[in-house]
Amino acid sequence: MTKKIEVEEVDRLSEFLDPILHHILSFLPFRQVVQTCVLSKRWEKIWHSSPDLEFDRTIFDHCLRLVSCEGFRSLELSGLCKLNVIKLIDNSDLQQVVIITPNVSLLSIVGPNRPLEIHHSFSKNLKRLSLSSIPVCNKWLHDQIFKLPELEYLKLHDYPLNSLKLSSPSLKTLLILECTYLVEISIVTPNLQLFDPCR
Amino acid sequence: MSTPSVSVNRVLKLKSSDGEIFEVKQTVAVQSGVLKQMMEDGCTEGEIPLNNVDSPTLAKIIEWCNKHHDNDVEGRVLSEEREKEKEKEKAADMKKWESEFIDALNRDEIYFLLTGSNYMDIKELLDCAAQKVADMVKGKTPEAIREMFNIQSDFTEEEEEAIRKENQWAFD
Repeated sequence: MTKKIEVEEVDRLSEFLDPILHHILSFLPFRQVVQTCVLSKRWEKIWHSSPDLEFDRTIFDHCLRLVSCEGFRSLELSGLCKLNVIKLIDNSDLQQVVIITPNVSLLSIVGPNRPLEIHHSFSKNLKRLSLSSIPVCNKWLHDQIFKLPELEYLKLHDYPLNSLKLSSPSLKTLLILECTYLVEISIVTPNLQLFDPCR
Repeated sequence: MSTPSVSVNRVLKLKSSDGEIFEVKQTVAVQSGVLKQMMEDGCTEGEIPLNNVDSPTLAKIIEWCNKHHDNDVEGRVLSEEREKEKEKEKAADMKKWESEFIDALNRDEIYFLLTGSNYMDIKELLDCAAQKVADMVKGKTPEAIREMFNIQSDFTEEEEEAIRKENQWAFD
């Protein structure tokens, strides 16, 4: 807290409850909302839980990383030709992801530990895919993997089902981590170099 | 608006944090989500303590609510076309009144109004006050915002640099 006592000198803004700060920030351009993260520790994560997120294409030069964005329910990406890395990590409220970006080569999704709808028309360029703690169904996964001609690396962590069926001519590395329910694996991967079903 | 438990002539007694009592018509008080809920639940007998709102702030809040209520009730017998025109005029007048109302307040009063309207759940007033603070912030650098609101940075230089880097795009 501040040591000064004159009324105008007190930092009342930082004392507001989060919902009030969010309300104030909702009237500002998103870029400026994010800038508030350097004001002080109180402000560092305020924008993470902002109910409205808005981006423009200048943000996505290379990598999109969204970590622990609470209240963040839906993500839709389209166009964005420069974007080649997408990482979505621990966004506990995320329900839907739509990705229509032509040049993504790495996609990593961790969480949200509940059903997540993923729609995409991935680029033929997707090389690395990593899914962790997402209850996807095997048919979906099989169909998606089959459609990725450049896929070289696949990591499944905490995969919820008991059987896994995959076929991919390009896959070189397959990592299966902490998939405690998994009892049956059936893979057709002629170019596989590393297979690690570490349970 | 027309909940059966809300009657035109009945008043609520609101008690501010510093103990002052304010009488407000029920028809005016419905603008507060919290008071509306209390009326619907039938628990508005006696004084209603508003522990987060001091008397100058409550007076301002009631002034706001009275004004918006009067605006809603006024003249309902005009022809449809005339009414539309009148609506427009009224909306413009109200905007003007709102900006004069909020501009006349000092920064502390606005802060208390924000807290009070959030506590009492009066959406339009909350919007108006939040917009006012946002206008003060808009277009300013983090340094200028810190200075303006006397926000003390508790980051080390390295920490601040790291956070800036993490959100680089917003600072470019």
